[in-house]
Amino acid sequence: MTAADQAEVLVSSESSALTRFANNRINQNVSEENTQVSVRAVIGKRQGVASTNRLDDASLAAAADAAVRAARIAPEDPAFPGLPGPAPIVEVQRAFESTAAFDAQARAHAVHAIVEQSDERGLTAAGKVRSAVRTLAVANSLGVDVGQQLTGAQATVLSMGPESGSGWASFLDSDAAKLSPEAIGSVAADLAERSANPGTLDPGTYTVVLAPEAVADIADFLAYVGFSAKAVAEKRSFMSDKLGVRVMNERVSIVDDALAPYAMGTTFDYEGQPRMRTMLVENGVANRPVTDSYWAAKLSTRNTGHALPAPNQWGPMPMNLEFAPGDASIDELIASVSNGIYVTRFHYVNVEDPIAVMLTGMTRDGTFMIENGRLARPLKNLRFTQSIVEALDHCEGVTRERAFIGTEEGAAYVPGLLLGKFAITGQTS
Amino acid sequence: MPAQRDYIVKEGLLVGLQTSRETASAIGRTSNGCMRADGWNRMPLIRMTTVSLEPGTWDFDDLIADTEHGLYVETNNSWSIDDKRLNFQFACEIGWEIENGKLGRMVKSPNYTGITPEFWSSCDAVCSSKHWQVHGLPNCGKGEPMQVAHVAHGAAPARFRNVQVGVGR
Repeated sequence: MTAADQAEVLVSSESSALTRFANNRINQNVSEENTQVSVRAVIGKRQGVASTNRLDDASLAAAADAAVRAARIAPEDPAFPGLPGPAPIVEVQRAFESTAAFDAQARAHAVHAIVEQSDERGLTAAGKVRSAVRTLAVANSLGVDVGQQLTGAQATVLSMGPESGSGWASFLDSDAAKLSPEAIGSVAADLAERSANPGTLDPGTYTVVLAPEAVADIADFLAYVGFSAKAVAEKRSFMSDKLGVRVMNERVSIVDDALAPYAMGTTFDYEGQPRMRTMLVENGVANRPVTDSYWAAKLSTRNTGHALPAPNQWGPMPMNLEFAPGDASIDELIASVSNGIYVTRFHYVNVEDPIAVMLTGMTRDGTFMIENGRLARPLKNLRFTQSIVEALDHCEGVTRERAFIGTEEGAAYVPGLLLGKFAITGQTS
Repeated sequence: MPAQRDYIVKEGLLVGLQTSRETASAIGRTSNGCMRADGWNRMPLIRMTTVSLEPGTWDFDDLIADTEHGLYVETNNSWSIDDKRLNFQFACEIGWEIENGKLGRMVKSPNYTGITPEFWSSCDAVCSSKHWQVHGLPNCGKGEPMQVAHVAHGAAPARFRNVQVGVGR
């Protein structure tokens, strides 16, 4: 491509299948194969991006041409440092034959095993079983040339009972062989039975024990609004002007680590740069945000390798969040609470103030009072409105055991948490 | 199915639902054209197209003048609702206190919460077509696999009584 000064190409190829079930039977079965090619053309300080999923030469040339034409009319960004050059990438085996071979029959058997756990107890189950094989490759005119194949298997189940009880369980791993559909079906069914006939609770500030599924949502939103160098530089993050300052309880440490054993994604970012282990919060102290090549140059700091695909208005984003473990079991956390609430997971969480990370959302699928150290009566779903920074400042316990949980945006490796102050502001009727 | 105009609520009564060919028969109707897919690689789902509050009769200035004590809020920026679509909480960019029929002090990030049928039952005024506008939303999410739809809502300013505001503020 001689019409541009620099060029970058992203190829994302995916073969995935998803089997959806509801009312204890499969109601949808879809699969797709798609290869998306995205071209970024750089002309001076201008960038243009075009993409296609047609792989014939003419279509690829047309996409490249469209990227060049877009670059020509793009505004100049004086801060654009140009594309990054090649850097060594750690190679990790993240593609499993067991997942590639997890076909329609396998998905159907998994659904059957999940549903059976609800069906035989008079409950109805809904959810999905999904498997995917994906390849991501990034190359650019400076010599970046990286690729990795990934596989992923995911299952979720929502079990519902006749007396308004409901329960949830999920699974996410690169290796489909690790899926135990009976186990997750059973966890969800247990919660559905135990949460039957839920009662009311007055709004107020409560001590809460959050299961890993709920903590995963917190991790997700911290990543979304707080951990990007762009947000920090633009004074939109809780970490803005607070690097090196204690912002949360010392029990809280949060790192982004794409090379961790549980991680499922690529070891390089969408510019083909190595994803570096980045300590975001250390013992409650705001340490540093993640960067990409653009923000590393702009802030004269190192590139942590967290670029999203161009064109990108979000800035860099961590995709492999991990909360450090504590030293308690979830039962020990519960046992330490005389009056509080146990939350299995959250639902429809949204941001009301990105700087305080003020979130609102509902609890869901297994919400119980904790009374004198034991789980007691089930509760109708509660609404919370709470600054997560403040909540983590009142963290009083972290579990030793952690779980790898899929979220809206990605996945996080998180423990259970005991938070001393959590604002419950409403309840469903 | 062709795009259509159909009532969900008419004069306060629930009179319809968004349907597909498959589901319309369950309520003795024909589909009102709400099956949408966001691309070649997705099965259609029933979801919103343009769901609008019909205009009423009030002039906006008269409505403010008629309100002794309240809050006027504009421009939604956060939304959350439970899985039965009962308990909701929405936040807005900006608002103004209303005292004795006049807009007063500006407030930042006002929010409000309620239970859907209670909230809508407390609506006692809707402004006229002079103040009615369609507002678009490009990122309505639904489905597994996820499908993102452009949806729209036509509305004029409206008044709701006894609404809890300022949650967590």
